Amino acid sequence: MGTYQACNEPIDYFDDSYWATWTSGTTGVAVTNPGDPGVIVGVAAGTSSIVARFSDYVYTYNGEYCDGNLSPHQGTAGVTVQEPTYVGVGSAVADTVRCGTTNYSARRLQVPYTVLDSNKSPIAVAGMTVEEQLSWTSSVCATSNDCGQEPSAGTWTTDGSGGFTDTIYNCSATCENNGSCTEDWQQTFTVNTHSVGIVNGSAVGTLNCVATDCSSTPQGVTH
Amino acid sequence: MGGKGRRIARLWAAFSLVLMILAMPAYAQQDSQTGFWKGKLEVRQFNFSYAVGVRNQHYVVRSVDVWKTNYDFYQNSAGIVREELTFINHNRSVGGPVDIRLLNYAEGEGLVFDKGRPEAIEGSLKPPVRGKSLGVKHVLGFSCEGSEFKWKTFQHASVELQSWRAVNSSLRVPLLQVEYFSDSTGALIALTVRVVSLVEPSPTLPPSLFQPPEGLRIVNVPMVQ
Repeated sequence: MGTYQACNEPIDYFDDSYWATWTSGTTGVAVTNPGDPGVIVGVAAGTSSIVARFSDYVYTYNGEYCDGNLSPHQGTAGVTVQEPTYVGVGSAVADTVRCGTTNYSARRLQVPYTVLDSNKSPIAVAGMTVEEQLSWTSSVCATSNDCGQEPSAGTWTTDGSGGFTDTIYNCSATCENNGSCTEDWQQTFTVNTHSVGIVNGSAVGTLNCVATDCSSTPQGVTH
Repeated sequence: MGGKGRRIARLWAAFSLVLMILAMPAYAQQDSQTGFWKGKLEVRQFNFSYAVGVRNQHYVVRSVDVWKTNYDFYQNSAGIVREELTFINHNRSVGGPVDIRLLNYAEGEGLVFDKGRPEAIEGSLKPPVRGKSLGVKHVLGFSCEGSEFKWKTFQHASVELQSWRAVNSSLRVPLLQVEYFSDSTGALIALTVRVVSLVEPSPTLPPSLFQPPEGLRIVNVPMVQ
């Protein structure tokens, strides 16, 4: 923002973004584009200083009239580029939910997540695409398709705080028939197609082991 | 106003009354000539949640979320209805199929399966108890008889279903259903409303539309709604 001050007028402001020359202090983190003045593009996680150089007239009263002189100016600001590295588990809650229009209700676990950067700071950006991958073949988790009704993997779009909520319940036909069965799987996440880790309290891992049955609240353990 | 004026006024009032009667909906439901129907069905389930923190039992979240599912439906002259899922607004966790519902109202049996998956559930379309009449309502131009059913599930949950079906018509799909599902403590867990949002007579439809695919692995359930 350019600043003009006439001899007898208050300060005035003008958007000089288009005419300014933009440079990034650390181009490995963020770059400027001469074809798109004022727009900073992230390259990798980190911080960089961004400098905008421009020229403005400064007016001074020389005893007879206001005399304008073109003078160089610059503004500096810091930018931080965050890269999705983890999803962080928030305060999970449990309730009972009716299984569609059936005669059965199941225990439901709702797990709020927030997308985090490499410093485990939230990335408060809406519109990131989070996808889960489910596997019944795992070297870490005990898996089971005892209920015979594997869930479909979920997809979410983050809200303005970088959050989304995973919902887990067992509404299988076996449970609906007053039977018992277990459906357990391995869960991983990607954010904007890149694999991310999981931060769950003090535990940091790469996957969740999810366990469900017909009577208990589903459980997720991070490894 | 003199006597002649009063007579004119009375005649005018009588004429207006006749006009009003003629203009009233006749509820003369136009039945399908072929016995085939097609239309749209919308299901809205309000899930009343009293959610307690897993780590902190004092952390309580009260909320209502709405599951929305829309179906296109097709009915043949034998009273078999095919409902095809066209919209769902929530991720499914471990759960029964929802994509295609073949509901045989003549036999009182329903079969539900997902496209491309072998699991299917099959069960009765009839509630496990006799219903109480709610009288007659006109819905979408159909004369409908209402029935109310109340029963308990094996989990001791209470279900109250109010269902409105066309009478004197070949249409078998209930035009309106409202259902309350409460847990064993009496807490309302879900309110479900099923509404036919469009219905019209259809030309004859191919029999294959009302046949399940081969090789389904069928699990019997008490009831398909």
